[in-house]
Amino acid sequence: MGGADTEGSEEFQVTWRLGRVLDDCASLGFDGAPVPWRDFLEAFERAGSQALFAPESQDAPILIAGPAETAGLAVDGIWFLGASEDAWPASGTTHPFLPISVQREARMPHAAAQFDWDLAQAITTRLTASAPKVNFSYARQTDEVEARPSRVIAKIAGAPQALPEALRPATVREAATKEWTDLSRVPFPGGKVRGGARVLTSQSECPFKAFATARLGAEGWDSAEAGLTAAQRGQLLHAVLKLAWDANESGVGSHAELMAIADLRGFVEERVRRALAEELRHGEHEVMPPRYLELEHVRLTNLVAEWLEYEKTRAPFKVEGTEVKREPQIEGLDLNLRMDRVDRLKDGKLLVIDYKSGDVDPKMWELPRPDDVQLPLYAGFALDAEAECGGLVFAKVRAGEVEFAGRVDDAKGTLRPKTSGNSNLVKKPLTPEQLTLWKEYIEKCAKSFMAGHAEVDPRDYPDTCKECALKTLCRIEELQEQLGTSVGNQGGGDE
Amino acid sequence: MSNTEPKTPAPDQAERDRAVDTTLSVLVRAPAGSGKTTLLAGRFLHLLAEVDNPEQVVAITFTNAAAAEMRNRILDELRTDKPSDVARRVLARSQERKWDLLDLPAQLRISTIDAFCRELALQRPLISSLGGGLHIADQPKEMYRKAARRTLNAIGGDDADLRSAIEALLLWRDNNWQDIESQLVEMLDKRERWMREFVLAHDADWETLRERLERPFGRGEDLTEPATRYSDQEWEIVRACFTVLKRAAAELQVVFSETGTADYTEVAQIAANALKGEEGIPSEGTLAAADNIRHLLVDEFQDASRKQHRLLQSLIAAWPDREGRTCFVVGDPMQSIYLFREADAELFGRVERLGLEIEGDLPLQFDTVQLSANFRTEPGLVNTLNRAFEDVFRVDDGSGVTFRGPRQHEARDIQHGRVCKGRAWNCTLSLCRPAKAERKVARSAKESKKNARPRRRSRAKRLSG
Repeated sequence: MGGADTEGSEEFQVTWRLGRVLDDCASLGFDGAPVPWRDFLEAFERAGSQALFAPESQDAPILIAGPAETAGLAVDGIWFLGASEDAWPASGTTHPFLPISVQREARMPHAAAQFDWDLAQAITTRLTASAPKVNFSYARQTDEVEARPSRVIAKIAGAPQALPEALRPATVREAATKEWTDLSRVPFPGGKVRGGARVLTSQSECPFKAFATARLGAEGWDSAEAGLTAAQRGQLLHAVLKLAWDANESGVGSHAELMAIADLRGFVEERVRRALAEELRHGEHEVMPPRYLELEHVRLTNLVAEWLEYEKTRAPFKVEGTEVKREPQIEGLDLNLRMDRVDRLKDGKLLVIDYKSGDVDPKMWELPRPDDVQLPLYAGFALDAEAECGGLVFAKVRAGEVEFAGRVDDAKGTLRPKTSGNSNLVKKPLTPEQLTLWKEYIEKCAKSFMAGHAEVDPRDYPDTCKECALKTLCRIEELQEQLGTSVGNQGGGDE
Repeated sequence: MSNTEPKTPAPDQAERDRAVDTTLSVLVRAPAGSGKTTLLAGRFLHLLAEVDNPEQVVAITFTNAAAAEMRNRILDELRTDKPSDVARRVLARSQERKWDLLDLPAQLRISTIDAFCRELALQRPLISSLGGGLHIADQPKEMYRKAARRTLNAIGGDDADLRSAIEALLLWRDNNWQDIESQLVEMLDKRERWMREFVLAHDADWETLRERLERPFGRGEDLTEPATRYSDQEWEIVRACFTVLKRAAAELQVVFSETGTADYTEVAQIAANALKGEEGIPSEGTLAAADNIRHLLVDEFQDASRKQHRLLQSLIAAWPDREGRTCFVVGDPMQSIYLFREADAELFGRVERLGLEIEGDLPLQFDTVQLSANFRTEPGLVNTLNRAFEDVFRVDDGSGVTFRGPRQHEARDIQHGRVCKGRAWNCTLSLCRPAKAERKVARSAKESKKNARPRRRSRAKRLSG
């Protein structure tokens, strides 16, 4: 509908019809008791979906109607579609509340096959008189089922003939589109780019993903969900942990201060309360059942308390900062980074921490082509130049599964004396060489992004693409088909 | 599929004749390519030639395409210039009784089980509480989700039992609303597997339910030795699940009646309830509907689910007597592949052994017919394959499963080259599994699944290299 000031006929009809639906709904609550908004909305939605509405139009050039609605019709031409044996005469069931004998006596539709035949015959005959030319057509096959022409119509109009040549769809000409592999690259002109570390992670996963998200602004959208979304729950957890470890926010700033908390649960609970109040500001408290949010309170308290108990077993440390912002430039690419937390370990080195509530594995950092470069990026480019990196870890804050996972240079010495010797933290220590290799790789990624590399080249198809929302944009599935055949040809088949 | 009836009599012609005998209830084992559709159409015609009105014969197929194919096959037989003997008899009867079958084929009752159930359900608007209309939902998932969401919203409601059950589940699943909601959606989708009387009973007897659920974990040959029990904590969760599921099922019915729409599971449920009636006595209308069905034909019986099986049982149970009524089921137990679609491969063998068990009555017994002629495959191919598999089957693979090739007389047929022009006899390659071996196989399959390692992706390497 246009943006004109005056209401057209259709707009008027729509508003009028909507008003009637509203009136109907309003008349539902006759006991005078107030109805909660949510219930009313549901009733309104239901009434709306059941309301029949078709704008009236006069002298429409083409009228679409069912055969039963054509009495008194006088038109220039009629096309009767779907004239197959199973559709015409129309079949149906008898009325459940009337005895079948009564229905037969009254010749009600569907009470006997013969009545349906007679009715169809009468309507068909009437139709042939309603226009100088009447066409009947049916599809020979639908859903792999062979259809036959309606016998009623065949008796009146004769045996079916093939569609005249003039009415057939134009034969497919050669496609007007030409296939052309576009490998030209449009360099990134510089400036702010959205997504922080994710840009380079994407560049590593699949250059096209980085290009589409960071430069084209493409993104999938989340479906509406009841309850808190995974993202909201993650934010809540981050917020609680920030409140716990931010000395400016009356949190604790070191291992020693953590150990000194007398009532850890009370300490956590207080922060959970604050986070729930501050983070849920978009009506969640009204939409979601209060008891559900109370359970979220319990969950967060248990979870964070469990996590802090775990941190108590660490070697002494000091919190250097939480949600630390840095804006490094890599190969001309300006990035906005925010580290969840940076600790100073007892040997003076820095530890980069990222809170995760999902299942994560530092394997994703492995060269030659990592799935994720976020923490290597922080370690290489977001710490102060003179600082030495003692490790990068995921803090896995999951119920029943709290632990650090990542690479540190001295797990037993500076991270956690109790770390098991079998743990990857001990078995795969962080080395300066590793940090250098990561740095070089990340620089390569940045360079490739800046140069405009945008190939659809997922690291590990189809795993990399599983959660990616861009599939309709990059058309990986089509591409993969072509790729699959060429790979097969090169490799030679089994004989 | 082969379209022509064999011109020369097939070597299993005697069996085929028995399969169309309108005085017998017959169970047919029909291997692939043995002309099953032709046989079904043939029996349908033989029945039409005898019944008082065409609506007394009901054929149930597995898909819409199969129903249409069968209908077309029957009509082709009747409309051809040179009708067969039986087709001529049907035409004569149609004329004599003024059925006018050629013009009014809607009288032939051939449909899928779902459509058949819908027809039954439509006649019982009070039971379905879906008066007015009964649309089949295109997107039932949306309705499941709505019901699931409403169920969980009851966490803010008045029902204390339900409230604490939802709380227990939420806390157990890390207060993940989406997770529980999705699981409920999935359970509603598959509710014909769990929605039984004992789940929906008004006041659940939790102790009986618990014992019942623990029974399969029993040890020993007959599973009677003391069972592994649920811990009290686990049982709390199971109990909460049942409480929530029960509510979700009820919410779903509300959603259905609000929209006048239902899914196939619901329609089947309504049909079954209609047949069963209140307090075990079906209504007059239902009885009349069942009474009017004198002959049943069921295709693809190896893929029949328990739901379909029960419907068949209820229909037959509602027959006032069995005189002059038959049931014909055809399938190929070797082709039962739809386990994931609720098919129960065991049912075919059970019906063959015990007949169709009818509540409060004797089982309905079937004559078994085994088809062996193959109209689809070249004789040379069949013989070569059969010979090759004889050698394969002779090897003991240590699985405890005995394999065998063609039966003796079948093999003889092959050797003597009893082959019609362009057709061959194929003999079923059978798997014989004693019950014990079957359990063993199931166990080892489970273990190997457990030990299976995630598949490595070699293509990824190629791509990243």
